[in-house]
Amino acid sequence: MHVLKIENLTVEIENKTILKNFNLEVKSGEIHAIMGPNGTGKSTLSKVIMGDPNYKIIEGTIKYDDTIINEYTTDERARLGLFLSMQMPLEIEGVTNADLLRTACHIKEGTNFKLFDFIKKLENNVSKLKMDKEMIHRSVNVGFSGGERKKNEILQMYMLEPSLVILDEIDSGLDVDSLKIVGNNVMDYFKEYKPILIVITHYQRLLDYIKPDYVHILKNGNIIKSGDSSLVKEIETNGYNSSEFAIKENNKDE
Amino acid sequence: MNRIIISNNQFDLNNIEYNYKEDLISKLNLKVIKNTKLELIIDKEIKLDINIELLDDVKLDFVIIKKAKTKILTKYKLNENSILNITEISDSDIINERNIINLNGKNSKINFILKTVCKNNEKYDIVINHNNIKTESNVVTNGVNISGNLYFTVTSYVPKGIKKCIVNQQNRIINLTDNECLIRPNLLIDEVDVIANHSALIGSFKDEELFYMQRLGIDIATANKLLIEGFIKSKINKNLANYLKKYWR
Repeated sequence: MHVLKIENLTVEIENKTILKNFNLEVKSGEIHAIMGPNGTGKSTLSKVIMGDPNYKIIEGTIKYDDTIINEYTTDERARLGLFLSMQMPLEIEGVTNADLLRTACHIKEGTNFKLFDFIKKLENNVSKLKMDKEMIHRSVNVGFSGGERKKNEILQMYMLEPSLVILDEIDSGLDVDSLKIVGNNVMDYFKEYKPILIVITHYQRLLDYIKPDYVHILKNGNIIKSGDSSLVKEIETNGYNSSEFAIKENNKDE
Repeated sequence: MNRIIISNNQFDLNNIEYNYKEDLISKLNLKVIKNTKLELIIDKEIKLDINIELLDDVKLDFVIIKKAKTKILTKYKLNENSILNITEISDSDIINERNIINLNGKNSKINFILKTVCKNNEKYDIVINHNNIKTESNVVTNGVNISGNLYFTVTSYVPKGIKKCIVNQQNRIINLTDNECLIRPNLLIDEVDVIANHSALIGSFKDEELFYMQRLGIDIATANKLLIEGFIKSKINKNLANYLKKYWR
């Protein structure tokens, strides 16, 4: 059982406060959806958990199991089992997908790494995600469509088998068929490995496949409301500017 | 594959006429008469003047591997409809090189790709003269500076009246030190009917690229090596990149 516990977290970038006294606790086997309007700190939250050095923690702690990881580098956090699927996966020309994944898996598994097993696992996962096998030998995300890039992120997740998965808008850029493949694969992974799963999204359509136990509404750098999946319907009906959310936000400020 | 190995005066050539004179400044003259491939391996310290001429309608795929301290002046002369594809790999302490490429024939075309890992002092000066209409030049200079000083000067000339040319330059240095590196990208074009593009960039790898790799558990040192490998391998044959693989293995 793993636990991610974020307490009183205040985060700045370029002297602008993005998260303020943010609190969240998530356990293995739980799915938490984080929703909210643009620019409220959702992606910031994902990058801060992952240790992006561009973001400065002013106050508070991020704890994974018994370890405060505020000072851990991104790669150290990844080796603890944290994984972030990025909203806009980067292109890296000249570095093939296979080289990138082999390097990452080699570092993770150390002397236990076996190339033959790696190749078999890679082929199996590529097939599960209905990806073109040729993409493995192409430069990372170069010339990939939006959907292919997102599948590539899920492929990385499968290969590294993380215990904490953050999906930052994994549904953006996906057509209906790709959304189904990605959503079903995330759920298959969740059922098999029971990780902590944090899903950042704007839309209900992803949550048709990935069923959250908890839904949090993030606004102005803090959670203004939490609930079960019924909250998603409420957002779909009323949007983020409904009077109820506005009242809660005002109360929080007081 | 035609091959010249300088250290042992080995000249295995077909479809290329040549003469070579070893001296204080050695001289190598090549005339390419049919489509062919050529590999030139410079593996001893040398000062060298090279002249290469491509006859009409001839294509040459030319690979140059530099493994030793060199000072080289190379003049290329391309006649009508000829195509020259150059891939140059440098792995030496000191290189001082000047290339003068004369696109004399209509529709002649040069694709020049340079890859180097700089450890001491390397200067490259590439001049492309578009001397006829509908000529095309595509120059890519890529260097990783790990402990020295690296300088690229790339100058493309298109005089007035030389219409419908295509002129491209992409120059990039990844500087992993605080040492001076310099790119001088010059486009000297005196004709409006020309397509021209250039980019010149000096810097380290992007923070976003490092973050993208680190989030998979890859430490900074390994991420840098992977990025060097990717940078060197892009746009060239993987086997050629292997000449420089010691910098990422």
